[in-house]
Amino acid sequence: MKYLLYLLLLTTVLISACETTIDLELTDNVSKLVVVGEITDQSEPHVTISRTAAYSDDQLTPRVSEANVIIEDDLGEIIILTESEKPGFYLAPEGVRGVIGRSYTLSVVLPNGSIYKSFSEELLPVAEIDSLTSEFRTDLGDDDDEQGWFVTLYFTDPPGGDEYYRWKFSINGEQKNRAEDIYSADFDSILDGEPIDLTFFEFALNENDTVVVEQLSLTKEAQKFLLEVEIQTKTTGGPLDPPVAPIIGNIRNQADVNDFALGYFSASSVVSQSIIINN
Amino acid sequence: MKYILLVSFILHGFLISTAQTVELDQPIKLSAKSMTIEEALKEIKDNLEVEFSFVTNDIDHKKGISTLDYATLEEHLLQILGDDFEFKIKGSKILIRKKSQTQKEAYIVNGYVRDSQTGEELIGASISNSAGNYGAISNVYGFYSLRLSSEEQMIRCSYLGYQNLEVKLNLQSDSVINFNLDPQELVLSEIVVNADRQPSNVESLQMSANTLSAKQIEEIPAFLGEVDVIKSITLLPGVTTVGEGSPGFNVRGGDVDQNLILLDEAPVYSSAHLLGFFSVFNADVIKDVKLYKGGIPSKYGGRVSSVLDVRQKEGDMKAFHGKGGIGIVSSRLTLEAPIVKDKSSFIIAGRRTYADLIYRTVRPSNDNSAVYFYDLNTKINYRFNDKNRLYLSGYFGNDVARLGNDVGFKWGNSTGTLRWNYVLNPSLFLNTSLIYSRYNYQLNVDDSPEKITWESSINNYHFKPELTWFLNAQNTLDMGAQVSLFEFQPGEVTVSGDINASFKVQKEKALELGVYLGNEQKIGDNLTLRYGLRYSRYHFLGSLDVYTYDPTLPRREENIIDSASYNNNETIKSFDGWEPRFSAAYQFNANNSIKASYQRMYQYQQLVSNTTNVTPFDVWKSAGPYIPPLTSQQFAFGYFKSLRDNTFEISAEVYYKTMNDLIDYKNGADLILTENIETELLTGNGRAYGLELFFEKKLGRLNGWLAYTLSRTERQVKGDIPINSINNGEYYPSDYDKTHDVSLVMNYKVTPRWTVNMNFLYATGRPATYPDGRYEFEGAVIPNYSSRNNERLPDYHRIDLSATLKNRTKPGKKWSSSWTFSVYNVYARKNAFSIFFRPDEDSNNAFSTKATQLSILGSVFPAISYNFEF
Repeated sequence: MKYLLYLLLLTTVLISACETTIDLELTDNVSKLVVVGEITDQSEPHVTISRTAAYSDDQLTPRVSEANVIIEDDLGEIIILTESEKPGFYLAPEGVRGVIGRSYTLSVVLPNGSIYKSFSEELLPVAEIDSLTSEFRTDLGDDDDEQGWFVTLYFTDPPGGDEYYRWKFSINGEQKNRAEDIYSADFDSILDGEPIDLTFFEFALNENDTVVVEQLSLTKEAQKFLLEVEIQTKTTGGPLDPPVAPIIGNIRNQADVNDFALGYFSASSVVSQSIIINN
Repeated sequence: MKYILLVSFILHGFLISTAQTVELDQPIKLSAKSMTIEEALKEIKDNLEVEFSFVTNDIDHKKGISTLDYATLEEHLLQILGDDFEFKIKGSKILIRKKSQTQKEAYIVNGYVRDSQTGEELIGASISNSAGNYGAISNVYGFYSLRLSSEEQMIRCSYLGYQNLEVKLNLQSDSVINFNLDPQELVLSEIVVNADRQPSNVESLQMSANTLSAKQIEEIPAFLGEVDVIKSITLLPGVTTVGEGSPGFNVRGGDVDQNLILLDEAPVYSSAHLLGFFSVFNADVIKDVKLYKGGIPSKYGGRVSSVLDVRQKEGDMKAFHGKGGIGIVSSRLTLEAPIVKDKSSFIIAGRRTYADLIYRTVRPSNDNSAVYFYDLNTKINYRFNDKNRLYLSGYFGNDVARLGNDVGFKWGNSTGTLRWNYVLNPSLFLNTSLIYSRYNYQLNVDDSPEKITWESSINNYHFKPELTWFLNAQNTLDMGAQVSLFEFQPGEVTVSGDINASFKVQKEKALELGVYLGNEQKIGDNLTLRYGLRYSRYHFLGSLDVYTYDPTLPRREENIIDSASYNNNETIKSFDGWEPRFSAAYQFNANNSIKASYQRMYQYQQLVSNTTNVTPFDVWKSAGPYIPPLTSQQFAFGYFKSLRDNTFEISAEVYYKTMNDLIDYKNGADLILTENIETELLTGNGRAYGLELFFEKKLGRLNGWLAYTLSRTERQVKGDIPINSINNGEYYPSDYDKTHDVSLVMNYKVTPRWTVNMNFLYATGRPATYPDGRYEFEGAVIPNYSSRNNERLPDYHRIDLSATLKNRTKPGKKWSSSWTFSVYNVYARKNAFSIFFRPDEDSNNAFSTKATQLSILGSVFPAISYNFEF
């Protein structure tokens, strides 16, 4: 919808709108806690704890080490995560997996004693991917003249209730993990229970590329969070953009209702398929 | 009038023609030394065979008096009646008048003010006696009513751009005087430097208002040569916009949806074409545009910030005329003519953009893309007589956009107004209007084999009787009512094809009632007051299913605890409010006055829009169980001065305004096709205050205005839970808060054929949100914006120029034409619309970010247009 409005806007303004990269003095950063965690049914649960840095720093943000990190499920089972060689990266013991149908809560105790806890996240089942296809197209992509191979994913949304999805991509073994690579969707009332095909037109691929597409289930709140991340990192400052705002996830300071950690703790089940682009 | 003429006939009534004439110095003897006034007059009457004429109430008939024995008639009458009376002989009648009564005797003069050439009624013309101490202003139908003493010798009518007209009076009774004013250009073919005294802002009671004539609007240099009413309005003090290409306007810190935009009294829901680059009003059919920013009369209600009252022309009553133009964006043609001369006329006007028509000739055959808009304005009126007049007017406008063969958008307004003006008696003017207005949009996607249609609309119907009572020279009363029915369809999506599905956000219905009474009162020669009260009542009606949320938890879908079904037309929730309005003006002398005003207003519908600009696809939300009506109060105070016979006008106004229960949005609110939209909304407060300076030169070779506004506009939004608050629930500047805002508009007649115009705009950059930190999410860099509108964009400034060359007219030909050359943004300033922050996708460093400035019209836009009249 918004994309189409932009097209309209572009047609209207012809070629007048212009973008200029500028240098700005930004106000000093107030250091804030960032907690990003994930539990899935396919890999070890992991949590990254860091702090915010000044916006113009082109560096990795500071990591927070020596925190106590545990994940507890609704049956009272506890997973203890330990800090790996990568500072601020906490990992569960090998072989530990999330279980579909259970709900998980993350707790983080910082070295200074403050406690941050997530809301409970349910690990929901996810629909199978029916197939992946690729097609050479000249009419897709961000720029009109962009051409290349595009991947289309087919699956059937299960009937009954709203489902929320996320897709992750890796191309030739390299995970696409920049902000612009975040994709999520919600299939609610209108397309409930229908076969769905999705073409990821932001990836123009070359022949013989190997693409792995992971399809993840999300809770409604997690999808909303990702959508906010998408909107705010893909902003073009245009007249149809919503205002930028702090993205409030599901992790709160237990001692102060007004303090939250940036980031999100999510639970997903994952299915994946791969495709090699060729004729 | 309680006039009773006591008439007595002499016995030989049939001899009247030969009756002797009496003289005041005629001697006469009365029979008794003391008698009542009645007896004395009877005796004189009988003796002289005359009759008396007087106002019975003036004389105490039973009062005993002592009489002179033998004296002249005049001496007798003085003795009987006293010094307060004077006497006149008319044939065989003796007229007795109370002395003071003679001066007080007043008659109502009423009528219409019209253009002598077209018969078009003129709004806001000033009518006064020769001394200028009794006056009236013609109303929006050109009607005036004025009470004048019978001693007044002359009545004068003046109106900017027209020759003053004076009419000799000999008032014996209530009279109808219609003024037909000659347009100035008709009179003076050479450069006009008019010294006629013009009505001024100093004299009128209304403050915080600006009137622009179609001519003024046409002269302002416009983007791509498209004369634009809304963009002209933003050059006035106290009016801002978010940025270039933004639809609508913000008045004294109010949102775009707080302006009551009326086209021939019908509300217009979207005033923008092409997302805001152009506006819906075709200036060729517009007579007059009046913007009220404060001191809003009690007859207006429903929006809290301003009233933009746009009146269409009625159509030429005398002869067939046409007007039109060809520009680079659109072409337009207006035709007007009498249907029955001086009784009935029509006007019809069309405008259409044609970039798509040109594109159609060059496009690939399989490409159906097109973007265009069109407007159609029509009006018919019929004058039954001087007392009855009927108007029927309509507006239809649409924007159409087709992208390829698959996607089509359409949105537009339609309005219709049927009005009946009825002059009940010389001092009672009744207008009754029946109004229909509709705004709708539609999106069609042809995604074979499925077809998706998405529709949304708002329909409303109004009935509005309004009575003006010109009670006496001191008081003019306004009273009336308005009944409005609204139907909202927030959104309905239908999928057809292999998949058949539909989704519908529930329809909403509401009834709004308003009644008002206001009086404009002159107290002495210097003070004028207008006080009024409006009572509004709003019923949010079924049929509708309404959810109940757990009152102890944030309003979210998961916290729904109950639902209730309401039947059709059943009241789900009602609101009401008293809206006092008050204005006062104190005029020190002809050139200086001060004014003050207070208003309280209610607004029962707000536009739900969470984007920087409002879009055609935003929906209006009615006040209801979870959304209270928006209320606003405003205080304003101003000083007005005129110089050199009103050639210059200067005004300074300060205002303070508060707004309560503004709709705001939770972070990440999903507003499109949302069933329980209340779960995405918050309410907030707003406040705005400022100083507006306005300097206008209305006449002469060089005319125009300079407006300066110093203001502050802030909002406060407290969340349902503390972390949902914006900026911790503290006041922060609104998106359109511009501390300094300067507009200079100049028009200079170089030669009789050449006119040049210039605009200069300067404004403080609007608030913007810059990140105060960054973090990583799975390797992606995310900016953190903890404080809304914490910075400002660079300052905005721009100059536009235009020049108009009038072509020579051939003698005896009606055809006249002109060329207008315009340049928008002469020095190609890249004004920032926004600055945004994104990862630097071109950099190899995944942590690299950049700030980018977006300029929407960051270039020079020259344009040429050809305009004609016949």
